[in-house]
Amino acid sequence: MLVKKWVPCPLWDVTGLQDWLNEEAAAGYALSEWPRWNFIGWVRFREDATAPRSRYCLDPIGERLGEAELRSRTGSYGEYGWRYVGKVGQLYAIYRCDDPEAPALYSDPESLSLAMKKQMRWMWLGLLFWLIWPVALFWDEWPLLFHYPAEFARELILRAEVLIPIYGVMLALAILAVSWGIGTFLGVRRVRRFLRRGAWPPAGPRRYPERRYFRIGCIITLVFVLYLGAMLISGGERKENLSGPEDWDFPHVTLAETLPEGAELLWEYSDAKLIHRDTRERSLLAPEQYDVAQGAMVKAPDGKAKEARFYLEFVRAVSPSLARTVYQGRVEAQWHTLNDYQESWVENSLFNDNDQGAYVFHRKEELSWPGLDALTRFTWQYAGETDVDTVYVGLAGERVFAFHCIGVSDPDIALELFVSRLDDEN
Amino acid sequence: MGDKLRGQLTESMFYVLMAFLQEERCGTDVAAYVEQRTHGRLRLGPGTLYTLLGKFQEEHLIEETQVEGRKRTYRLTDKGRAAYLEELERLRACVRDGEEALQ
Repeated sequence: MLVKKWVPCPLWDVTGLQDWLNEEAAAGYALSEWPRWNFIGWVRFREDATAPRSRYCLDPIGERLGEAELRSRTGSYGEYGWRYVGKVGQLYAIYRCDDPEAPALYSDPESLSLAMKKQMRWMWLGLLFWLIWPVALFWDEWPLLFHYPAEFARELILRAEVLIPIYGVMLALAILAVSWGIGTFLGVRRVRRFLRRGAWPPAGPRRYPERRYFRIGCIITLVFVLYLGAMLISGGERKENLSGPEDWDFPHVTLAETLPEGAELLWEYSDAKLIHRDTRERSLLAPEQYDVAQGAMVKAPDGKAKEARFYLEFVRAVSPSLARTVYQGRVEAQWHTLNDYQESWVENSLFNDNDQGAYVFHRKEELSWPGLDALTRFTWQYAGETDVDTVYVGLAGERVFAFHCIGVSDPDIALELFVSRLDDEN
Repeated sequence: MGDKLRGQLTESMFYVLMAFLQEERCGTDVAAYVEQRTHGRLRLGPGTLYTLLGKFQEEHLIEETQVEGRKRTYRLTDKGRAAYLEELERLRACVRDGEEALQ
């Protein structure tokens, strides 16, 4: 009959594992299978009347590619009455001997230490893997985290329900895996130090660490999957498309209001023409997030037909400090985008018609404005164009706004009106 | 190789090298020789024996002379003989010191 038992000691604990296998054998249980997925932390035994007369020994595995050495050892050990039973991952081969007169596999600690030398080289490589793996896991996030931390924080606030659990779970699983990898490395090194000093390493305490790691990992993954499922089901409620300014339930101005005196709207662009869809989103930390746009062909005061575009973003966070983070992130993102465009232009200069750069000018200015806690203005003129683009990013209490005026749309008119509407809301 | 080979040899290492002084041997012959030579005091485990044979071979203290199936036969090299004699001299000095201290 097969019986599953949880491994009581860490996998590197050669003495602990050997003692445990021998205790189970004395109780009449022979090792049947050490599962390939040893991280689960259980092992199969079978009831065996001959088990109490048997002994188990572990032999360090020095190879990771192929099994030539393992096969050769198994053959040689067989002549001494030791037969191969299985492997503890890639750490140890397990041998069983039913002859009470046969010598133990290792008759002195120093030779066992020598046998572990190749294993230690692999362990060093393993340690390197466990140190590099988290770097690779968060590969896309590191640049954002180090170069644009405010942008990263803004993203976390705006998509709190999704990003915070995702990053949290990834971080928790990475910490679990890395601590397991480092723990195994340190454990094997500790065992080898004992052996090199000519002493047999003592067995460690029996705390069932593999089972603990596995259960924590399972619980984290299960909770995360359930959470993601719930998020997918309720996803439609967090983001909705808006049909027009009649749905803009936040302090706002419209494109028509931003036009200078004497300008006249000829016809408005559709969403398809603007390549933009007005949306309202919400998150736990920023319950109101609007992203809307308007575009139109306008008869300018000089009588010429010109384009005007007005893009408006509005965020209401749950606290002024979170709003400030969102504001800083939005400012950083705008400057980042402008500079990226410039860099991309330089990289592709061979394919560009002119070599004067992406912009005639581009600048960022921090301003003060009555009624606002912070305000930043970005202005730039693309090479080969006559119009100046302007973006204002502002902060008022727990509210953050950003608008982008292109063409005839006047940013200063928009700012004045917008701030007065923020005041009206207060 | 081994940290131990840079300094003194362990007892097991010393006896394994001793086994090759007079003739070529395979692993089981070495284990039998050591047990007989020490009157059963030292019984080499197979893990110990094959680890040491592998390490000695890596360090060119012994070399393989014949392979018949799984049976591999080895002989001592000049470097191995020198390592053995060096250890023997060290042990003699230890014994000499110990005996002098008794007088």
